[in-house]
Amino acid sequence: MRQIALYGKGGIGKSTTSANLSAAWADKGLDVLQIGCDPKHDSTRMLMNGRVIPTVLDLIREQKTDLAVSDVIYTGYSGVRCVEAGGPEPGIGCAGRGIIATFQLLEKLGALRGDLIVYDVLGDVVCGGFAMPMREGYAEEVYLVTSGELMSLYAANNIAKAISRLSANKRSRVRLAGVIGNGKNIECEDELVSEFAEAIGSRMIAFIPRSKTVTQAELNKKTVMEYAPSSSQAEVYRDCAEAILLNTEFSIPTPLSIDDLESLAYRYLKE
Amino acid sequence: MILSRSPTDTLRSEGCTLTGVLSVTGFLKDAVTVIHGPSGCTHHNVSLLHASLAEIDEVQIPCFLSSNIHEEEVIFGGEKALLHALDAAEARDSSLICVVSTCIADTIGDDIAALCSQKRSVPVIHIPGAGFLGGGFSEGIRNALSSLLNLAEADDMRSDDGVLIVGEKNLEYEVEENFREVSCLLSLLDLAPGIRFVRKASVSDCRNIGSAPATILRAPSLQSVGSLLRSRFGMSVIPGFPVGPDGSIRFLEDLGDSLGVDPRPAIRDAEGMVADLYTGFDDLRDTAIRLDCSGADPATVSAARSVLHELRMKEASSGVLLPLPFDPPVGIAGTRRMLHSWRRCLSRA
Repeated sequence: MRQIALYGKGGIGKSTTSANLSAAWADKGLDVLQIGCDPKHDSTRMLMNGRVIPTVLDLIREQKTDLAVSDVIYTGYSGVRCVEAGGPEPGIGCAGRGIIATFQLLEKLGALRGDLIVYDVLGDVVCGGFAMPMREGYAEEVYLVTSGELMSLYAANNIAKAISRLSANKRSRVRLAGVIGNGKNIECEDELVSEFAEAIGSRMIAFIPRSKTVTQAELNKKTVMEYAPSSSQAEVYRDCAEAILLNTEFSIPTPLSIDDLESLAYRYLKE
Repeated sequence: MILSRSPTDTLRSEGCTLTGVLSVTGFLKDAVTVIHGPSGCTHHNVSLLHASLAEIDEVQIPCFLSSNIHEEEVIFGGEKALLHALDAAEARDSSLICVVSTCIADTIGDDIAALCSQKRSVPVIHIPGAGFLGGGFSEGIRNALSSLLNLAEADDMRSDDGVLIVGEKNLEYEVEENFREVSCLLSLLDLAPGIRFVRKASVSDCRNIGSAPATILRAPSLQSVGSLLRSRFGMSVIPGFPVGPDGSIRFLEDLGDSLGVDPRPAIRDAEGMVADLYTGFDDLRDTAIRLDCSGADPATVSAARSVLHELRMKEASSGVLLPLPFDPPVGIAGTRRMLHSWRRCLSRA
């Protein structure tokens, strides 16, 4: 079983990427579990054809006891099993603790199984709860999803710091497995993301160009893999999924200082 | 704010902010205190207060309610749980509800102040009690007294009111003896103690504290509360209970000066009492002793050395080890109790 976490800035396209990768792996016949770790709870929506599934935290709040695997896991496109952690209403409570409670429940239910577990995690929040997927026993491979925008790179660099910090624990096996570029139509964006990846001691696994197909698929409440399986965009996701399956190069990242990060971004923007 | 810390913090004697708050609000006669946090915070503090009060032969346990928050409230917010606890507190027909926050309530960011400001049949006061923010037991006392000051009405001045006593240590073994000593010294100036803020006071007493002509703080650590009283009511503030015989004389001078009362007759009386005190312990003169100063308050050590000097007792490495009281000896009576304990030690040696 491989456990993979995708981290990145909110709105950067983590959920779209995660859902399409899960769909690509499921199409290959792999047993995939995707866990959305974002209070926004829309990670698996396209896999579920637009259905917003009940979140684990909602179920804990309403039912509290005797929850079964069937209460929290919903089967979506191509058999991908979907879970949403959920979270509190904005402005109240502690979402990080919610992630921890979700993981504890999934462990208790024995639900963390399959060929691949994909954790789709909000990367803007860096409290302990959102680092839960990187802790011992969960994801050992972390992929940073970023565009060429400075704030997106900043968030990715921050997550690299978290991985670096957690790697210092001898028992920790979490490593940075690569960077996935998610294009925002910035000039030379793939080169910028690739250089960023190398600068932090990793590599760009794939660059996903911006495409109308993604928007069209989402308007039809489907992943690209389901909506347009023969499109070039579907091929991009398939290649990325394959690259991840074949990837064996995991590293402890060397995050950049804010000055170095800004210099890097500035150089590309200037050019 | 992250404060610098060291492993020695685990040995601190300053306790928890929450306990400090409860050591004040628990002594409001007609108030209910809601502790917004897990029930363990309430249980732990009730046990602690019960044990401390039993030590001073008080068996009445203050009325505390817990909002009893669990993991669900930590994740989704504990404001509903607090509202439920406030409803329960309101049903108890009290005159005031004090709401004290705990570490977890402040960590998850519940808007306790906003909930406390909602209109109810009983006034509700929010008192910060989260220990992780720094401070300790004394900070809790200050937080409680400062918050309760909001009950006071400024336009209720009566010239015949007694002197306000602020921040008595309700868990202190000699709390009543110390109060009596201060009352005795006040009587030398023809003054009387007024409201005890807060020791077995009612909520209506708290509303009237602004009418006092002057206030006496239990300890200098309450200076911030004294500043509030001074700025809000224009009150003269004596910064602490008198420590030792010398402190008693200064106390009379300061209080007389601040109230425009000639302190000289009172000081003469007090000096006579001090002379009687030393005469009563004449048997201790010229003895060789050592003071057990470990962890002692510097004011206690200073008062003790002053007494040693008056009685011509000698500090020597071979002398009998004498204990010092945990809190500085209050006035002449407190010094007498210290000398009695020394006499017992010397007689056993």
